[in-house]
Amino acid sequence: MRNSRFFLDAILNVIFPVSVGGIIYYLHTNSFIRNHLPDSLWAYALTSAILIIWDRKIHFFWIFFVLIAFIIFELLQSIHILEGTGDILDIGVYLAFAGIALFTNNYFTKLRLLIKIKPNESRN
Amino acid sequence: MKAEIKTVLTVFSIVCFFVLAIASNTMKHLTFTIEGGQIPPDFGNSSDTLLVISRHDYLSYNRYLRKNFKDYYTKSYKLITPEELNNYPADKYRYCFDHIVNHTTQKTSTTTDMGNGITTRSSNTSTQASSDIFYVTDRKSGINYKTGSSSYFSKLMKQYIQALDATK
Repeated sequence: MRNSRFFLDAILNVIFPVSVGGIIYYLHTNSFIRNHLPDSLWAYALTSAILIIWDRKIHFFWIFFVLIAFIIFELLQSIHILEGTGDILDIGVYLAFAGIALFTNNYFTKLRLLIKIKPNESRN
Repeated sequence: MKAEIKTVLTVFSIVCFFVLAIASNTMKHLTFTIEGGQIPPDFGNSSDTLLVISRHDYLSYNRYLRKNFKDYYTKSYKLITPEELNNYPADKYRYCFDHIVNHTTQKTSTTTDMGNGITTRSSNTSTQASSDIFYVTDRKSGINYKTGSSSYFSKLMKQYIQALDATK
């Protein structure tokens, strides 16, 4: 049952946002949405993935590590070490959506607990 | 789940996500469409000869420019120098292919202890070409249709030329 909760949570908060981001990227929508929404969903999904792996308990080291990695990622783009265009707005978007993942963490923790355990699974 | 497994999963997730982001950034810079603003809207309908500016920004630039146009561009084009551009009227030669080089400047400071309490400082500034942007100028309207920047200039040039050639 824990596995089911884990996978449901992962599908909803990791696979779904990344897939939506991918679809937006391939659709020729307006450039602001195309450039920023997939990135923001990517940041949300990565932060959520870490929260889900750590049973939705905030692991400060890894969350801090990821936030710093977002900033370094943009800096490396701005000095042309990585492909892409470094943009201060991207850093803001990453941090904002990582914040949303952290802010909704309590909600998804409660939602996980609401998934009923079947009697035969509760014995395992 | 044990903490060690969680740690491994966390590292794996972070690596996967960043690889995904780098891959999508690379693809983003290799997408050229009229809608995306990298190709002029009437480019496919024009029968004008494309003017291609040859430059000597770095040694291999003109070699790749010649090779990529020869191998991948099937329409009419003409290699010219920047100074020759004014000899070609915009109503007959509407489009012009060129590139911009982005430079990165690095400053290095060195402090040397002379041993008698005196230190000397020297600084050195170096500028290097770090990435390229290619563009087609519509000489009638003066609008530039640019690619994203990439440090893999030959790859970017080749893909852009192929996209221009395929535009109908």
